[in-house]
Amino acid sequence: MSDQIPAVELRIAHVFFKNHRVLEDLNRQFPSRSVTAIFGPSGSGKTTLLRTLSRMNDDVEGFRVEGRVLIDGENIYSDAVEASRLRQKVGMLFQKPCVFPKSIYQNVVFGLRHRDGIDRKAVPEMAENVLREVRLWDEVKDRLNEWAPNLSQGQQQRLALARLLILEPEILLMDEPTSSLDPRSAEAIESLIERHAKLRTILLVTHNLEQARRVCGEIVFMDCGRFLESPPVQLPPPAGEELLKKY
Amino acid sequence: MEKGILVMLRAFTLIACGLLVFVLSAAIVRGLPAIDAVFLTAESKNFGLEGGIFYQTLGTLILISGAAAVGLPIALGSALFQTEYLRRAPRLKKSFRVLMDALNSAPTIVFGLVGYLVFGAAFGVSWLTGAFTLAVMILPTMQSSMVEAFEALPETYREAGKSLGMGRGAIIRSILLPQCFYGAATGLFLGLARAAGETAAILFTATTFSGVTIPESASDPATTLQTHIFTLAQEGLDPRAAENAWGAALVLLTLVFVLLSAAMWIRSRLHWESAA
Repeated sequence: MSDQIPAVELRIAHVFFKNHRVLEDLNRQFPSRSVTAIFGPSGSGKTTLLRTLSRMNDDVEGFRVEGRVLIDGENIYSDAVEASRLRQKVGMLFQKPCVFPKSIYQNVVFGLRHRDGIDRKAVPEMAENVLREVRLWDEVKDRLNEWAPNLSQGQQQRLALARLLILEPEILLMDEPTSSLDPRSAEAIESLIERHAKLRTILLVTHNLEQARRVCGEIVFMDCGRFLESPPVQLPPPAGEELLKKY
Repeated sequence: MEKGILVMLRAFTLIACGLLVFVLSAAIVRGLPAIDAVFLTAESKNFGLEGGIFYQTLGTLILISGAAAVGLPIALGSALFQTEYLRRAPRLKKSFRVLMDALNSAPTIVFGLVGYLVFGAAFGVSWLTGAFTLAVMILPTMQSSMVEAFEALPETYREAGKSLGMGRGAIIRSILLPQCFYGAATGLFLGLARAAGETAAILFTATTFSGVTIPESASDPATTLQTHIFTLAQEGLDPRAAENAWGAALVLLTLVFVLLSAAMWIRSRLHWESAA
């Protein structure tokens, strides 16, 4: 992984679906090598924000961005930036895990097939390392060739995270990654976020305030497509206690 | 009132099934006596009144294989373009669909005429002209089936690929095509079954009625089961012609049935895969 972990910055960014403005006046910097929680009620635009940062909505009819969305100082919506290149740097973990109908091992190494300069001999060790990182290794080490969709939802989410981490994304966008998981899986993911806090720039969408307090350096509130506080509320409280109670 | 409607629906169902059973039984009862090893492996003689249908069967297989070779990449490419590259242009996508539906409903003799004028000008009356004509004819069947299969793939698979930094080409190669293989293959076999049963489109583009064996060049015509039946049916007064026509019809029906069964089997795998 490169030493220069990029920061994420939004400068007066507005996001539209057709004529409907879903995010407005987004103006904020997420520092490099930090974990920021995005917190707010359902429908406040948290997921749209993450999808905008990874250009996941490019294929959605009527989607457009005004203003500047900068990663490493470069506007990711400029013509010069190729979406797939951007996503090699910006990985996204979804709320519901999606594993491919393949073996556990094939899922872990799936993304490596499309990367240049991978030492094939090192791949099994890389797979083991990331499975250990997400605390899945002990559960699957004897059945790596088994069908991944047969894993529990919590295991599938950890597998999806391992599949992402093996590609070493510099920015990690996590959209309620633990919302429907068993405590063991949720704890494994939280622990990983803490360990990676100084390695990557992480944005975590969560409805779990305690989780945000445990693992995030700062918390940002969103409502009706806007950031509510500027500058971000530092954790621990009391600065944003009233807002925390509200949600 | 409701009981009357139910009785009527039952009657219509019985009529539809009865007609199908009648056609199949007629082909089996009348065709089976004509079929033996010699009939299947011998060359036809005396304008089909004697001998077998070996070269006709071969010709049919050559034409549908040629149609598959030409039509498959075009159908696959246009289905991928429609589902993967026109996501932000639903109107254009809908226009494509309307165009394919229109093409699908065009009378097959029109395909024959266009094939004769367009491909026939380049290759004459030949198996290649027939294959091109059939390829155009089965294109909408194959394309629609493939579009259906690609659109059935959950969006989460594509997004999982995107989140791993995969480009559109990589997603198509590594996620879409492997996951939708059975859907795409179903489309191919449905198209081939349609091509195998087609007569009008190849009547004056690909075939001659006698004296043809194996085409030796691209400009040679082929003889087929469909046109063989057509010729023999015109000699209906001769009992030998009628018997051979029914025999050839049964072989053709079997060929179509095999292709359709393959499509249905593949489709059943598709549902199984989705459920998984």
